[in-house]
Parts: sequence; structure tokens; C-alpha cells
Amino acid sequence: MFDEQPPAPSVAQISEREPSSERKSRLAIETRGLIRRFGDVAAVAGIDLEVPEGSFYGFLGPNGAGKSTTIKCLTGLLDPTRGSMRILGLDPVADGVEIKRRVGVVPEDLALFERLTGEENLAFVGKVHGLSRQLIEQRTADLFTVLQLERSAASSLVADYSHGMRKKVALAAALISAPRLLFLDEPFEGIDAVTSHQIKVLLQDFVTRGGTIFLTSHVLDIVERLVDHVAIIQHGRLVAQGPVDGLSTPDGEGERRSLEDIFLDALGAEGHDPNRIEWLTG
Amino acid sequence: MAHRVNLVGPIVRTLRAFLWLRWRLMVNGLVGGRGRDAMAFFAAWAGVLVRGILGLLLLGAIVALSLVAAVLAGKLAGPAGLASEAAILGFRVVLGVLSVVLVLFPLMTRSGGDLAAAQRLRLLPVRDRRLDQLDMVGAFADPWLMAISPIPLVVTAVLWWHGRWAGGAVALVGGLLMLASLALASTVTRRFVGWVLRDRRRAQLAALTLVFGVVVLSASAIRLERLLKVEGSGVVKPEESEVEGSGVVKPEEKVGVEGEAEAPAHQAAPKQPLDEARDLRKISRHFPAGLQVLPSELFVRALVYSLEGTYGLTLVLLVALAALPAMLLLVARRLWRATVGSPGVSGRARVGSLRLASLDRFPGLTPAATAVAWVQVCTAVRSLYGKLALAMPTVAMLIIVVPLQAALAGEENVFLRSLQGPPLALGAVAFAILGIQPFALNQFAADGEGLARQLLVPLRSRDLILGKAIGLGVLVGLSTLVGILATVASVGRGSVAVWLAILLTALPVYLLMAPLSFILSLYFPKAMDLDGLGHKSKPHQLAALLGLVAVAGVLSLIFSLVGLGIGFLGTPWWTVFAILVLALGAAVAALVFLHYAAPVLPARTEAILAAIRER
Repeated sequence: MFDEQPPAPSVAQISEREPSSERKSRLAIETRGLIRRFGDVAAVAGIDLEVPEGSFYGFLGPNGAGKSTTIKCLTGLLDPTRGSMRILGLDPVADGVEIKRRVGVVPEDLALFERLTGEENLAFVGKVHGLSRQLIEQRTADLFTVLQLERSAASSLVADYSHGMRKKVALAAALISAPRLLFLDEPFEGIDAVTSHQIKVLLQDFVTRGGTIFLTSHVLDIVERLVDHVAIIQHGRLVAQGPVDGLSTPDGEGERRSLEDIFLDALGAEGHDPNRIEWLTG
Repeated sequence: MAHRVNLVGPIVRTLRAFLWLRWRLMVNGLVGGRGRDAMAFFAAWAGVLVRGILGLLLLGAIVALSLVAAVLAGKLAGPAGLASEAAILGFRVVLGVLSVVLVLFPLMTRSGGDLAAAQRLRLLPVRDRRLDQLDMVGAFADPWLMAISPIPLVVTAVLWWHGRWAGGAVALVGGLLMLASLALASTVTRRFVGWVLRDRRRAQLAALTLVFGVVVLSASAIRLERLLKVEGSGVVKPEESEVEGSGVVKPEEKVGVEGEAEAPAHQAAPKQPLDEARDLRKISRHFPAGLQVLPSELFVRALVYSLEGTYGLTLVLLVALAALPAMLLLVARRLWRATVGSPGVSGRARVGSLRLASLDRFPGLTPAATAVAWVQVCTAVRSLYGKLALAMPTVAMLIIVVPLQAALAGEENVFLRSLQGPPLALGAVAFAILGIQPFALNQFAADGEGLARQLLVPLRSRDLILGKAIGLGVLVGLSTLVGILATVASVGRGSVAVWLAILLTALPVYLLMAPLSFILSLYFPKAMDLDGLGHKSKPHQLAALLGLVAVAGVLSLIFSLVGLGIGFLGTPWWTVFAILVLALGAAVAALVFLHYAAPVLPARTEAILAAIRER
């Protein structure tokens, strides 16, 4: 009665088949004139994104700039008001389910079932992706080890987890299907330093093997050490986009600028003088 | 000049700030955040409309109770100087019932979220004691207390109108003390519930203990009453023989409300004041002793004694009435410190071994739809509300069956005797369907953020809808089965075909309800707290109302069919067959409906997610 499809090829399988240069020339994410309105307010006001396949892409911007709304549009949680998108070469409207088979997401609100254990949340995702029982159990064990999730957490409901533990489970849920493209909305927020290091190593390895990561974070130090491409959004519009090297030294020579400098320059933020608030500082 | 401490200013300022906060939360709830569509606005305003109707009903109840109080007070102020038995009984019953409801209502309606909100307010520069006081004052906004509040004032006014000055003064003072006691008792219950709900494991244990405790207590009370009747029938005093010696009462001598046999109309004679005083004492005897510490009881007794001129006893009762709020105040403060003023506890609940990974698939479903069904069952059975919903048919049937068996013991009437048997078990089906309504009528938003996970994974709309329908069906089936088994164990008779017919009744009822539940879930989503007991654990008011009407209609239809097949035609196996055919037809209709309605789901997911995040 119901048709079933085999799981989508994993990053490792893609990596074996294609050289890195070929993948880089293709776009994992491409948007044209993407607009998302809430009433009269345009949270995303026409952005053209080009995320090369196999890149570690940092999507930066101040609070309320439209980062999370963009990710929600790209992952199918929100419908764009206007514009076109292609994810891994597929059209989200026509091939929504097919895209989801190849994509892993850690959304802003983590999207976990409160009344399932961490292990059961992963089992649900694995089942929907068509993974076998053995594969689900093996991958769950691996992810729990790498993300340093306590085994005791396996028998506790997510409702009882700390914020950091929830984030780890959400990351594990995004990874268990071995996706080709990862959307990570603030993955390092609330994570301890040791696990944060483990995650960074894991993500870098994922990209080295041909995966693509689209990441938002407010921690520019972390982003600077990880990403090779960056886009900066303000008021729903892109104000800068390109390889980090190209943005650091625009004319190809001179002193390399930090990501923080690039960020502040792009936003035109000269910084406000705190002494102006006399009632606070005076 | 000595510095004057201004106490009123800060209290008024805080009160104004909180009133403004309430107002803004209400307005913002109607205007809504981004992501709301026209349907969400309609749902919000429909909720306000339902609340408005309830408000009008409350207003009507206040007016009606005030009128009743005025009439009863007029009788109390009669010229005989002794209180009319009917008026006293009326006061005691009305005030007693409302008082018990007022105090016990928070057990069924309060959510742990109230205290979470209070804890946020502690970050503000407002004294703890002031927050505590404002919370207590807030108890006067309880509709049940608002319904009672005018009664003492009306009684006072009527008594003074009749020149009963002392009685009026006692009504005023005693009435205000009664209202204070009830408000504080309600606060104590609410805070106690909040303290219990802070720990999910403790909350679930407490709720289940309470529910099953009610069954055990009601069963024990019935048994005890029957035992006492048997033992007491031969030794009762002559004046009490009509009341307690039920075995010797003739059919034409019906027992009256006050426990006294009514004489035939042609023999009735006007009662003397002395008889009425005896009536008062009799009424007291027939009220359980435990209830006599109720504030309403103390109030009415003080009032009656003052009208009789027994001022010493009146004073004693008024002192007792004044001591009650003082004691409750201490308990309320202690509970405030124990909950709001102390860090929360995390009750990590261990969960059973319902392992999804080892679960393959339901017949005819994809693994993805099976996983959705499994999540639906887990979400229900691991929540407080879900546990109660699952236990509801069993508990309700036991509560009904045990007293009914006691009441109908030795009954000759065939129809009444038949009520003890299998037809009673149809109630289990009704309770199972009603118990599952909060999940069925809000099936997408009830998953909370889990819905977003279901939208992020490669899950087709039809798998999501079908999985949910199967999961909810499993829950209805489980709770019906256990409820019917409990009834079979209690009743212990009836043919297999009859019991089977009743069990299968759940199938067409659920299948006929499924499409409506799906549609209402799409258009009236609401954030839910399934571990609370208050309005946060209920679906949208309009969805609940429409769902209730539909359930009543469907149950009437199916139960009529069962009644016709078993009761009148006496063909239980044909009834089983007819129910199966009906279920098959309903299943086909539901599948066709869901097939065409499935595309609506993606169009509504954004609004549902917005509703979930507005919690």
C-alpha cells in the first residue's frame, strides 16, 4: 500500500565518488530574491545566497537580523513569501521530502519530543529515515559517546534534561541519518567547553569528508576558526558574502582582518559610547 | 519630623502594575505575534467569546443565588423567632456545596505554571510578602467565590429590613469571615497543588492516588452504609425509625429531604416552634460531623443561634470562624515559602521500556507512520493528563457500578436490574472517547516542539496523519478495554456476544470522530501542558465545545443501534456484525476524507507552530 525508498547516500559515500573540486563548484543552497514577511514586517527582505557544496558556511548577523527566519525557510518550517530556493539541487516545493532525507537540522527551538528519552528521539528520526534497528542502535551509541551524553540520560525524558543536554540530543538527531547538508542554528550555545571542542572536531571532519554545514552563531571566535565562507545579514538583507579569506583581505594583500572587524564593518557599527547613558554610568 | 512609612503607595503601585500586566497579556494574546493567520485570530476571538458566555452564565448564577438568598433570609426573619427548617437547610446545602467546590476546584484546574509565573515576579523589586498577599487577594477573582460573595450582604440587608438587627450584624461579620476563610482555603489548595505539580513524578503519583482513592473510598462508604443498615434495622429508636430503619418503611411513606417521613397531605398539621427547633437538631445529625467545621456551616449556625437569641453560642461560633482564616493564613504562607521561595526540585521520571528501535511496523503502515503512532502513545501514557485519561473509564465505571449495585440490590424491576449489566459498560466507551479528546482535538500542537521535528524529517503528510490516527485509536482501544474488563469483573454476567458488541462500539465511535478531530486540530491549535490539570491541559475552548457536541451525537447514534440490537431485538451477534459493518464504513469514509484533507496540513503547520510557541 505504501511505497518506501532507500536512505539517501551519506556524506562518506558521496566523498568516495566525487573529487572535492567538483563538489565545490556546485551549490548546496541557492536562493534568489528570498522574501519572508510577517504582516508588514519583512524579516527576510530579498536575499541571494550561494552556499557551495562541501563548504563550512557561517551565517552571521545581529539579533533580529533574520538568521533564524532564513533557516526556517530553507528547512521547510516556514514558507517564503516570495523568491526561489534550491537545496542540494532540488526544489523544496516539489521535492520537500527528498530534501529532508539528505538534510539534518538543529533548529532554534531544538524540536525535540519532551516525553521521549534522548535515545528514543534518535530512534524516531532513524525510523523515519528508514534505518534498520541495528544501525540506529550503533549510531546512537557512537553519537552518545562523541557528544558525551550520559548513558543515564537514555532512560530519562528530554523534559528532565538541561539545556546543554537537549542541544546535544538535537545535534545527535540531526546527525543520525548521516546527512549531506547540516543546518545548525546556534549549535554551541549552552554547551560546555569540552563537548564544544568535540563537536568542532566532528563538524570539521564532516566537512572534510564532503558534507556542507550552514551555521549561525553569535560566537565569532568559534565561527572564525571553523568556517571557510561567510554571509552577514542585517535587517533581512545580505550585506556581505563570500570566502572568509576574500573578505579578510579584500585586495589580496595587507594585514588580515579578523571576522569581528569584517562583521562590524559590514554592519556599519561604529559602536555606541556607553558614557552616553549618563544615568547608568555617571 | 519623624519619617512616615508609606505602606499604601507601594501596594497600590504593585497592584496597578500587575493589573496592567494582566491586561497587556490578554490584549497581546488577542493581537498575537507574527506568524498568526486569519484562522488563528478567529480561534483567539472564539476563545474570548466562549469565556464571555461563561461570564454571562456566572452573572446569571450570582443574580439567581442572590435572589434565593433573599427569599431564604426572608423566611429566616419570620415572626416565630425560630428559623424555618427549609430555609436553614437551603442555606446549608447551597453554601456547603459551593464551599466544597471552591476549595476542591483547584485540585482539578490548577496548573504548575501559576507558580512558575510567580517565581518570575520574584525577580522584580517587590517584597515577597506583597506578592504573597496579592496572590491571596487574587483568590477573590475565583468565579465560585464571586458566586457566593453577595450572599452574606443580601442576607444582612434582608434581616435588617425586617428589623433583625443582631442577626443582620452576625450575617455581615460571619459572612465576611466565611468569605475570607474560603478564599484562603482555596489559596491553600491551589498552592498545595502547585507544590505537588512541581515534580512531575510526584504529581503523577499524587493524581493517580487521588483518583483511585476516590474509588476505594466510595466503595468502602457504600459497603459501610449497607453494613450499618443491616445492623441498625432492628435497634433504632421509634422517632428515628422512618429514617434509619429503611427495611420497615412503607412505599407510600417516602423519606423527606430532612430525613423525616412525610405524612399524607390530609394528615398534615402546622408545625410548632418546638418542632422546628427539633428539626434544626435533626438536620445537624444528618450532616456528616466532618462537614461541620466548614466555614459555611459555622456561618449558618452562628446566624441561626443569633436569630434564636442564643448569643453565647453565636459568639463561640464567630470566634471559631475568625480563627479559621488565621490558621489558613499561616498554612498559606508556609506553602508560599515552600514553593515560590525555594528552588524547584527535578523529579526525573524513569520511563518504561517501550522501545521504538525494536518496533517494526503496524500492519499496513510504513515504518514512518508506525513511529508517529508510537510517539503519540508514548506522549499520552507518559503525561499526567494521559494517565488520567486512560484510567478514566475504569475509575468512572467502578464509581458508577459499585453504588448502583448497592442501590439496586434486590430490585424487582427488570429494566432497573438490566442497568447493572452490560449496558452500563457503554459508559466505558463514552468515558474513553471523552478522556482522549484533549489529545485528539489538539493532536498536532499537543506534541509541542516535537511537531517541528516531525516536519524536519522526511515524513509525508499522510504518514503523519495516519500515524496519529492509529496512535489515538490504540489509546481509545486500551482505555475502553480496561474499563470494560473492570465492569465485567464487577458485574460478572452477560453473554460474550453482548460484551463483544459493547467493546467494538468504540471502533465506529472513534472512526466517526477522527475526521472532525483532525480538522479541529488544524484550525484550533493550542499550546498544552499535559502535566498540568488546568486550562493549559485542555484543547481550545471552541474545539472542545464542538467536539463535545459531536461526541454526544455520535454516541447517541451508536448507542441507539446497540440498544436496538441487544435490548429490543435480542440479537447480540447480529449487533456485533452491524457494528463491524458500520466501523468498516466509517474507516473507509475516514480514509477517503483524510486522503483529501491531507494537503491542508502543510498549509496549517506554520500557524500550529506559532500557536505552540505562544505558550
